[in-house]
Amino acid sequence: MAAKVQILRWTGPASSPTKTDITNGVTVISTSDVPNPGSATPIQMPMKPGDVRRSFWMTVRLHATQGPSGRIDNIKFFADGLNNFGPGVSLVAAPANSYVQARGVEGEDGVELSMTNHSGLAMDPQDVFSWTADNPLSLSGSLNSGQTGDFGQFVVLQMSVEYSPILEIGETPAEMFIFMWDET
Amino acid sequence: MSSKMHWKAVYDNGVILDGRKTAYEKLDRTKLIYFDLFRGTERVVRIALEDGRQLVYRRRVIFTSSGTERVIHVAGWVKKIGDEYVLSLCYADEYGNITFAGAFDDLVLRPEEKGE
Repeated sequence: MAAKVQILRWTGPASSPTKTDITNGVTVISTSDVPNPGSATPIQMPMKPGDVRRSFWMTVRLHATQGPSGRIDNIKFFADGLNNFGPGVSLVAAPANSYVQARGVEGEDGVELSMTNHSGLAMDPQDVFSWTADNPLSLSGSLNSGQTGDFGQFVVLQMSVEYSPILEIGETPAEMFIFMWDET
Repeated sequence: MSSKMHWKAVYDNGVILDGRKTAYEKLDRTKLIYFDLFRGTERVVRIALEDGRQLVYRRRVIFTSSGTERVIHVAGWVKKIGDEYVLSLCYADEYGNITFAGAFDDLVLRPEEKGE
Protein backbone atom coordinates (compact mmCIF):
# COMPACT_ATOMS: atom_id res chain seq x y z
CA MET A 1 0.00 0.00 0.00
CA ALA A 2 1.38 3.40 -0.99
CA ALA A 3 1.80 6.09 1.64
CA LYS A 4 -0.69 8.93 1.83
CA VAL A 5 1.16 12.22 2.20
CA GLN A 6 0.12 15.82 2.79
CA ILE A 7 2.01 19.11 2.78
CA LEU A 8 1.42 20.87 6.09
CA ARG A 9 2.00 24.55 6.81
CA TRP A 10 3.22 25.20 10.33
CA THR A 11 2.27 28.39 12.17
CA GLY A 12 2.10 29.51 15.77
CA PRO A 13 4.45 28.96 18.69
CA ALA A 14 6.98 26.11 18.54
CA SER A 15 5.55 24.68 21.76
CA SER A 16 2.13 24.15 20.17
CA PRO A 17 2.28 24.74 16.42
CA THR A 18 -0.79 24.75 14.23
CA LYS A 19 -0.39 22.39 11.28
CA THR A 20 -2.61 23.14 8.31
CA ASP A 21 -2.98 20.93 5.26
CA ILE A 22 -2.23 23.10 2.23
CA THR A 23 -2.29 20.28 -0.30
CA ASN A 24 -4.84 20.79 -3.08
CA GLY A 25 -5.00 24.51 -2.64
CA VAL A 26 -3.30 27.87 -2.84
CA THR A 27 -1.54 29.14 0.25
CA VAL A 28 -0.67 32.80 0.67
CA ILE A 29 2.58 34.26 1.94
CA SER A 30 1.88 37.42 3.90
CA THR A 31 3.10 39.54 6.78
CA SER A 32 1.38 37.46 9.41
CA ASP A 33 1.85 34.08 11.07
CA VAL A 34 -1.48 32.53 10.24
CA PRO A 35 -2.22 29.57 7.96
CA ASN A 36 -4.84 31.26 5.80
CA PRO A 37 -4.09 35.00 5.75
CA GLY A 38 -6.07 35.76 2.61
CA SER A 39 -5.45 39.33 1.53
CA ALA A 40 -5.56 40.84 5.02
CA THR A 41 -1.83 41.37 5.61
CA PRO A 42 -0.06 41.78 2.28
CA ILE A 43 3.64 42.41 1.88
CA GLN A 44 4.11 46.16 1.78
CA MET A 45 5.40 47.90 -1.29
CA PRO A 46 8.88 49.44 -0.95
CA MET A 47 8.68 53.09 -1.87
CA LYS A 48 12.24 54.08 -2.69
CA PRO A 49 15.32 52.53 -4.31
CA GLY A 50 17.18 50.20 -1.98
CA ASP A 51 14.12 49.37 0.10
CA VAL A 52 13.18 45.73 0.64
CA ARG A 53 10.00 44.47 2.29
CA ARG A 54 9.68 40.90 3.41
CA SER A 55 6.96 38.40 4.25
CA PHE A 56 6.86 36.41 7.44
CA TRP A 57 8.53 33.02 7.07
CA MET A 58 6.35 30.24 5.73
CA THR A 59 7.23 26.79 7.06
CA VAL A 60 6.10 23.59 5.36
CA ARG A 61 6.78 19.93 5.99
CA LEU A 62 5.59 16.58 4.69
CA HIS A 63 3.19 14.53 6.77
CA ALA A 64 2.04 10.96 6.22
CA THR A 65 -1.46 9.97 7.25
CA GLN A 66 -0.69 6.45 6.06
CA GLY A 67 2.84 5.09 6.18
CA PRO A 68 4.66 3.26 3.40
CA SER A 69 4.78 -0.53 3.09
CA GLY A 70 8.55 -0.28 3.04
CA ARG A 71 10.33 3.02 3.39
CA ILE A 72 10.34 6.61 2.17
CA ASP A 73 13.70 8.33 1.65
CA ASN A 74 15.63 10.46 -0.86
CA ILE A 75 13.35 13.46 -0.31
CA LYS A 76 13.76 16.42 -2.68
CA PHE A 77 12.26 19.88 -3.04
CA PHE A 78 12.22 22.06 -6.15
CA ALA A 79 10.26 24.50 -8.29
CA ASP A 80 9.91 25.00 -12.02
CA GLY A 81 13.00 27.16 -12.43
CA LEU A 82 11.12 30.24 -13.58
CA ASN A 83 10.09 33.10 -11.28
CA ASN A 84 6.77 34.42 -12.55
CA PHE A 85 6.02 36.63 -9.55
CA GLY A 86 6.94 39.79 -11.41
CA PRO A 87 9.63 42.47 -11.19
CA GLY A 88 11.26 42.95 -7.80
CA VAL A 89 9.64 39.90 -6.24
CA SER A 90 11.78 36.98 -5.11
CA LEU A 91 11.27 33.83 -3.08
CA VAL A 92 14.04 32.22 -1.05
CA ALA A 93 13.99 29.04 1.01
CA ALA A 94 16.19 26.81 3.14
CA PRO A 95 15.86 23.42 4.80
CA ALA A 96 15.51 23.45 8.57
CA ASN A 97 16.01 20.83 11.25
CA SER A 98 13.54 22.41 13.64
CA TYR A 99 10.54 24.69 13.59
CA VAL A 100 10.86 28.32 14.61
CA GLN A 101 7.84 30.60 14.67
CA ALA A 102 7.85 33.40 12.09
CA ARG A 103 8.51 36.87 13.50
CA GLY A 104 8.09 40.45 12.40
CA VAL A 105 5.66 43.32 12.57
CA GLU A 106 2.30 42.01 11.46
CA GLY A 107 1.01 43.76 8.38
CA GLU A 108 4.35 45.52 7.91
CA ASP A 109 7.49 43.43 7.57
CA GLY A 110 8.95 40.03 8.36
CA VAL A 111 12.31 39.31 9.96
CA GLU A 112 14.85 38.37 7.30
CA LEU A 113 15.27 34.61 6.89
CA SER A 114 18.87 33.78 7.75
CA MET A 115 20.83 31.29 9.80
CA THR A 116 21.33 34.04 12.37
CA ASN A 117 17.63 34.79 12.76
CA HIS A 118 16.34 31.21 12.42
CA SER A 119 18.17 28.80 14.72
CA GLY A 120 16.88 25.72 12.89
CA LEU A 121 18.11 26.51 9.39
CA ALA A 122 20.53 23.95 7.94
CA MET A 123 21.96 26.29 5.30
CA ASP A 124 21.72 29.85 4.02
CA PRO A 125 18.51 30.56 2.10
CA GLN A 126 18.65 30.31 -1.66
CA ASP A 127 16.47 31.37 -4.56
CA VAL A 128 13.72 28.74 -4.74
CA PHE A 129 13.85 28.80 -8.52
CA SER A 130 17.49 27.68 -8.50
CA TRP A 131 16.23 24.24 -7.42
CA THR A 132 14.81 22.37 -10.37
CA ALA A 133 14.01 18.75 -11.22
CA ASP A 134 17.58 18.37 -12.47
CA ASN A 135 19.09 20.13 -9.47
CA PRO A 136 16.73 19.73 -6.51
CA LEU A 137 17.28 20.56 -2.87
CA SER A 138 17.94 17.37 -0.88
CA LEU A 139 16.08 17.07 2.39
CA SER A 140 17.27 14.66 5.04
CA GLY A 141 14.87 12.32 6.77
CA SER A 142 12.93 9.16 6.08
CA LEU A 143 9.85 7.24 7.11
CA ASN A 144 9.83 3.52 7.81
CA SER A 145 7.18 0.89 7.31
CA GLY A 146 3.99 1.59 9.19
CA GLN A 147 5.14 4.94 10.56
CA THR A 148 2.94 8.00 10.16
CA GLY A 149 3.30 11.66 11.04
CA ASP A 150 5.69 14.44 10.10
CA PHE A 151 8.83 13.46 8.25
CA GLY A 152 11.78 15.02 6.45
CA GLN A 153 13.34 18.39 7.07
CA PHE A 154 11.21 21.53 7.12
CA VAL A 155 11.33 23.91 4.18
CA VAL A 156 11.18 27.56 5.26
CA LEU A 157 10.28 30.13 2.62
CA GLN A 158 10.28 33.91 2.52
CA MET A 159 9.08 36.27 -0.18
CA SER A 160 10.83 39.61 -0.63
CA VAL A 161 9.90 42.67 -2.63
CA GLU A 162 12.61 45.06 -3.71
CA TYR A 163 11.87 48.55 -4.92
CA SER A 164 11.28 48.71 -8.63
CA PRO A 165 9.75 51.58 -10.60
CA ILE A 166 7.53 49.08 -12.36
CA LEU A 167 6.22 47.29 -9.25
CA GLU A 168 2.56 46.48 -9.47
CA ILE A 169 0.12 46.52 -6.56
CA GLY A 170 -1.93 43.37 -6.15
CA GLU A 171 -1.64 39.64 -5.91
CA THR A 172 1.27 37.95 -7.60
CA PRO A 173 0.60 34.99 -9.89
CA ALA A 174 0.62 31.64 -8.09
CA GLU A 175 3.71 29.45 -8.22
CA MET A 176 3.96 25.75 -7.53
CA PHE A 177 6.57 23.92 -5.52
CA ILE A 178 7.24 20.23 -5.69
CA PHE A 179 8.30 17.52 -3.27
CA MET A 180 9.71 14.26 -4.56
CA TRP A 181 10.66 11.09 -2.72
CA ASP A 182 11.45 7.43 -3.23
CA GLU A 183 9.10 4.88 -1.73
CA THR A 184 8.88 1.13 -1.50
CA MET B 1 -4.03 8.85 -7.61
CA SER B 2 -3.62 5.12 -7.42
CA SER B 3 -0.74 3.54 -9.29
CA LYS B 4 -1.56 1.93 -12.63
CA MET B 5 1.69 -0.01 -12.52
CA HIS B 6 2.68 -2.86 -10.26
CA TRP B 7 5.53 -5.33 -10.03
CA LYS B 8 5.88 -9.08 -9.95
CA ALA B 9 8.95 -10.95 -8.77
CA VAL B 10 9.87 -14.33 -10.23
CA TYR B 11 11.86 -16.82 -8.15
CA ASP B 12 14.07 -19.58 -9.49
CA ASN B 13 11.61 -22.16 -8.14
CA GLY B 14 8.75 -20.78 -10.22
CA VAL B 15 7.07 -18.82 -7.44
CA ILE B 16 5.71 -15.42 -8.55
CA LEU B 17 5.08 -12.70 -5.99
CA ASP B 18 2.80 -9.72 -6.64
CA GLY B 19 3.92 -6.29 -5.41
CA ARG B 20 0.33 -5.39 -4.52
CA LYS B 21 0.44 -8.09 -1.86
CA THR B 22 4.13 -8.31 -1.04
CA ALA B 23 6.52 -5.71 0.36
CA TYR B 24 9.68 -5.06 -1.65
CA GLU B 25 11.72 -5.52 1.51
CA LYS B 26 10.36 -9.07 1.93
CA LEU B 27 11.76 -10.38 -1.35
CA ASP B 28 14.19 -13.28 -1.05
CA ARG B 29 17.06 -12.03 -3.15
CA THR B 30 18.76 -15.44 -3.17
CA LYS B 31 15.88 -16.81 -5.27
CA LEU B 32 15.05 -13.78 -7.39
CA ILE B 33 15.72 -14.17 -11.11
CA TYR B 34 13.33 -11.69 -12.75
CA PHE B 35 11.57 -8.52 -11.67
CA ASP B 36 8.75 -7.40 -13.94
CA LEU B 37 6.79 -4.16 -14.13
CA PHE B 38 3.22 -4.54 -15.29
CA ARG B 39 0.79 -1.94 -16.53
CA GLY B 40 -2.50 -3.70 -16.01
CA THR B 41 -1.96 -7.16 -17.48
CA GLU B 42 0.78 -6.03 -19.86
CA ARG B 43 4.40 -6.56 -18.86
CA VAL B 44 6.33 -3.45 -19.86
CA VAL B 45 9.74 -4.10 -18.29
CA ARG B 46 11.64 -7.23 -17.26
CA ILE B 47 14.79 -6.92 -15.19
CA ALA B 48 16.96 -10.05 -15.40
CA LEU B 49 19.02 -10.52 -12.27
CA GLU B 50 22.06 -12.58 -13.08
CA ASP B 51 25.76 -12.54 -12.45
CA GLY B 52 25.49 -11.01 -8.99
CA ARG B 53 23.23 -8.14 -9.97
CA GLN B 54 21.01 -6.94 -7.13
CA LEU B 55 17.53 -5.59 -7.71
CA VAL B 56 16.80 -1.90 -7.16
CA TYR B 57 13.24 -0.65 -7.21
CA ARG B 58 11.53 2.55 -6.07
CA ARG B 59 8.24 4.31 -6.58
CA ARG B 60 9.44 7.85 -7.20
CA VAL B 61 6.61 10.14 -6.15
CA ILE B 62 6.45 13.67 -7.56
CA PHE B 63 4.00 15.59 -5.40
CA THR B 64 3.08 19.20 -6.12
CA SER B 65 1.74 21.87 -3.82
CA SER B 66 -1.42 21.88 -5.92
CA GLY B 67 -2.04 18.27 -4.93
CA THR B 68 -1.17 16.47 -8.13
CA GLU B 69 0.85 13.29 -7.83
CA ARG B 70 2.87 11.55 -10.50
CA VAL B 71 4.70 8.28 -10.00
CA ILE B 72 7.79 7.12 -11.85
CA HIS B 73 8.81 3.51 -11.29
CA VAL B 74 12.58 3.27 -11.03
CA ALA B 75 13.77 -0.29 -11.60
CA GLY B 76 17.05 -1.90 -12.46
CA TRP B 77 20.07 -3.48 -10.92
CA VAL B 78 23.20 -2.61 -8.99
CA LYS B 79 26.45 -4.51 -8.92
CA LYS B 80 29.60 -3.80 -6.99
CA ILE B 81 32.60 -3.78 -9.28
CA GLY B 82 35.81 -3.09 -7.41
CA ASP B 83 34.97 -0.38 -4.91
CA GLU B 84 32.17 1.13 -6.96
CA TYR B 85 28.49 0.37 -7.27
CA VAL B 86 27.43 0.31 -10.91
CA LEU B 87 23.75 1.03 -11.49
CA SER B 88 21.60 0.40 -14.53
CA LEU B 89 18.12 1.83 -14.18
CA CYS B 90 15.02 2.42 -16.19
CA TYR B 91 12.27 4.91 -15.45
CA ALA B 92 8.73 3.86 -16.32
CA ASP B 93 5.80 6.22 -15.98
CA GLU B 94 2.18 5.26 -15.37
CA TYR B 95 1.50 5.29 -19.09
CA GLY B 96 4.19 2.75 -19.87
CA ASN B 97 6.74 5.21 -21.27
CA ILE B 98 10.22 3.96 -20.42
CA THR B 99 13.54 5.75 -20.26
CA PHE B 100 16.78 3.86 -19.74
CA ALA B 101 19.59 5.63 -17.96
CA GLY B 102 22.96 4.99 -16.44
CA ALA B 103 24.29 5.62 -13.01
CA PHE B 104 23.42 9.30 -12.66
CA ASP B 105 20.62 8.73 -10.23
CA ASP B 106 21.31 9.62 -6.61
CA LEU B 107 18.84 7.24 -5.00
CA VAL B 108 19.85 5.90 -1.62
CA LEU B 109 21.00 2.30 -1.91
CA ARG B 110 19.89 0.01 0.89
CA PRO B 111 22.08 -2.61 2.60
CA GLU B 112 20.34 -5.55 0.91
CA GLU B 113 20.83 -3.92 -2.48
CA LYS B 114 24.52 -3.54 -1.74
CA GLY B 115 24.65 -7.23 -0.87
CA GLU B 116 25.39 -6.44 2.78
